[in-house]
Amino acid sequence: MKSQPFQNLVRWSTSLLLTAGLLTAGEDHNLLPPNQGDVAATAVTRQTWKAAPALPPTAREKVHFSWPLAADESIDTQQPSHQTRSKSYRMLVESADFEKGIALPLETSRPLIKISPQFSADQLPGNYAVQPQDLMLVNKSGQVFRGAAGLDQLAAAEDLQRAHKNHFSPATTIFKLANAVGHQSVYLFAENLDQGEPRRYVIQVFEKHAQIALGLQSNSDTYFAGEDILVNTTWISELGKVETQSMSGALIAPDGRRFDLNFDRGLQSARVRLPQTLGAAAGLWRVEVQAVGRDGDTLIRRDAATAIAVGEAGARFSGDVVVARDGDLLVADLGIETAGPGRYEARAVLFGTDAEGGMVPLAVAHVADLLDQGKQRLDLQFELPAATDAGAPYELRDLRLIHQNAGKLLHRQGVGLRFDPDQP
Amino acid sequence: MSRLIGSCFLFLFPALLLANTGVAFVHGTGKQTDARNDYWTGAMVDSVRQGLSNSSNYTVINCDFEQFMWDSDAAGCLAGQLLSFINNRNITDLVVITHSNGGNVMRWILSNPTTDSRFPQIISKIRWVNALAASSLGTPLADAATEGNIFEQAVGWLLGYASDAVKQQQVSWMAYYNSNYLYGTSGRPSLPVGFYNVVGSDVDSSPFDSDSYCGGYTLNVGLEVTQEWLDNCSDGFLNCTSQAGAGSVWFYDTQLSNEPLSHNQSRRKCFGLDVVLRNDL
Repeated sequence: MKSQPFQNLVRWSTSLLLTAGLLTAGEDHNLLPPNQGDVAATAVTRQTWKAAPALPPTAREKVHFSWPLAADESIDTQQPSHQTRSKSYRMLVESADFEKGIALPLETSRPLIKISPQFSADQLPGNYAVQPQDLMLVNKSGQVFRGAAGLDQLAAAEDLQRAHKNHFSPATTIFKLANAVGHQSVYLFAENLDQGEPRRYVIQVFEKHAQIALGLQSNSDTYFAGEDILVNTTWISELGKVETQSMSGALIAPDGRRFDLNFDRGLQSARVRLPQTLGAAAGLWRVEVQAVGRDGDTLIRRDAATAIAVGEAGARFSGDVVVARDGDLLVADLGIETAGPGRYEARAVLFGTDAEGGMVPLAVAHVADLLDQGKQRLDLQFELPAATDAGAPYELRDLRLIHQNAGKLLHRQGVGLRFDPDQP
Repeated sequence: MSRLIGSCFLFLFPALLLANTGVAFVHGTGKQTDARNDYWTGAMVDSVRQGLSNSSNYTVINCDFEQFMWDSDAAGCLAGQLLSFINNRNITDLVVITHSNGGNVMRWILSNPTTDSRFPQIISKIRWVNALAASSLGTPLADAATEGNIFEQAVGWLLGYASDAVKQQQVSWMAYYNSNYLYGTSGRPSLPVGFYNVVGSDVDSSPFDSDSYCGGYTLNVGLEVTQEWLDNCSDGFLNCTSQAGAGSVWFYDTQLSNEPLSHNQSRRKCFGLDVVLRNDL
C-alpha cells in the first residue's frame, strides 16, 4: 500500500525555531576516527582546476532538509565498490577487414553482435551500416551461412534507431547468431560495404549464454588526486580454471587522459597512481580491462569496465561537533575546514537505541551553504520521529561531506559519532 | 485495487479531500520540446488527467535529459517547470509520473534537496512518484552504447555518440551514484516521498499479435533484439531489476493484464496502464 509522508508540514516551523536561537546550549564532541573503507582527507588542498561552475541564484541560500526513517529500514553504511561481470568483448576493425574475414573467438553459440561505424561529431554516418542481410558467416567446419541463414534475430539500423534513437548511434546494427553457426571459431564477412574510403567499426560481442565471465573491481569507488588505485580481476567460471593469456587495461579520465594499468606477474591485480592535477570535465573515471584466457582449446576474450570518482580534498570535517537537543529537534553542528570558497554539504543518518538496545535509523538530515575559505560550520538538524521509542545513545552514521558545485564526495564515514545529548 | 487503496487513503486522511491535486509527466532520456505529443502522446496524457478533480491541473515537462541528471538543463529545468506549475495552479498535492531516466532526474531532486532552494518547496508538495520503467540501476545497453562509440585515440572516447545521460546510465555509473548521491536503493535510506515502480517484463513483436502494435510495432522490433542483451525479465531497454531497483514495486505489467509492457509501451496508452494511473490520482 502506498503511504504519504506528512512530516513535510512541520519541517519549516522547526527551522524557524532554530533560527530564532531557541535551542539550548550544546555539548562538545569529537568525530570518531575513520575506519577502513571510509573516505576521508587528512589535509585540505586547493583545487587545481581553474573555476567551479557558476552557481544559479537558487543554489546560494543555506538549505536544511530532514525526513524520518522507519525503524525497520535496513541501512548498510559500508557500500563496497561495484563489481563488473562481463561476458562481452569489443574489437576495432577497418572496413576492408570485412572483405578478408574477421575472426570472432566464441566460448558459446548464439552470441549477440553489435556493429557501430565510427564517426566524429562533425561527420554523418551516411550509409555506413553493416546490414544483417549482407553478412556471411563461416564456422569452424567451413560451413557458410549467408544473410539471415546464419542469424536467429536481427535489427537493421532503422529498427534500432526507431527504438533507441537516444541510445545507439546511427547506422548501428545488432544481430544474434543462429545456434547452427556454433562456437569457438567463427569468421565474419560483409558484402556490399562501401569501400570508397577506409572507415573503422567497433564490433561488440556479447555471449549471453557463456559460462565464463570476467570480474573487475577497484578497492574503492572514491579517490583523491595522487592516490593509488588497486584494481582486481578474476575469472568467474562454471567450467573450471581459466588460464590467463594476457591482461591489459587503462584508467581513463573524463578529459580523455589515459593511464596504463600495470598488472602484477599473476595478471590479476594492477596498480595505477592518480595524477595530482585533475581536469574540469564532469563525470566519472573509467577503469577498463581487456583479457584473453583459455579454457582447454577454447579461446576466451572478455573486456570489462567500471567507474570511479576522483576528487580533490577541497574541504574536510575538522572533527569537532557540538550536539544539542530541544524536544523533537536534534542538532549536530559540525566543524568544517575548507581550502577555498564553494557550496558545501553535510549529510548523515541519525540512529538511536531502541528498547532492546539495538541501533535503529531515525532520520536523515542534509544541510548546505556557501562557505568561504577557512574554518566554517554546517549544522545538521534532525527531526526526530514523533512515534519512536528509540533514544540516546545516538549515532551519526553514513556521515558525508560533499562539494556541491564541484560534484565531489569529500568524506564518507560509516559511523561518525556516538553521543548522548543528555549525558555531558 | 488502486482505486480502492486511493479511496481508503482519502478516508483516512480527509485533508487530501481539500487538496488541489495536480499531475506532472516527466519524460526520459532525450531533449524534448513537445513531450506531450512526441513522447507520451496526447491520448495517454488526456486519459490520465481525467482522474483529476480539475483536469487542467497537469503539466508535461520538456527538458534536456541528454545531460547528466544534476545538470541545470536536467534537474534544474525540471525543478523550474514543476515549481512554476505548483505556484501557477496553487497545487498542494502533486503526483509525479516519470518514465525511464526521468525517474533518475526526479530521484536526484528527492535525494539532494539542499543543492537548490527550489527542491524542498517541490518535495513538500509531492504525494508520491509513479516511476514507469525507471532506469534506477542503469542498463547494460548504456554500457554497450558507450563502448560502441569509443574512439581509441586519447580524448576520442569523449567524442562518441553517447550523451552524458547515456553514459550516466551505465551500470557501474549508476551503482556509484546510488551509493553516494541517490537514495532508495537496497541498503540505502529511503526517499523522502514514496517512489512506486511499474515494471515492464517482456517485449512482444509478433506481426500476427495485435498487442505488438500498441505504441508502435516497429519500435518493438528493435526492442526485442536488444532484449537479448538483457536478462530474461526485461522491457527491451532495462532489466526488471533496474526498474525495481529504487523505492517500491507498485506492480509488474503482467499483474495489470496478460500483456507485457515494452520500454516504449510503458509511456503509452497500452493495456490499461493509463486507467491505473488515472485512478491513482
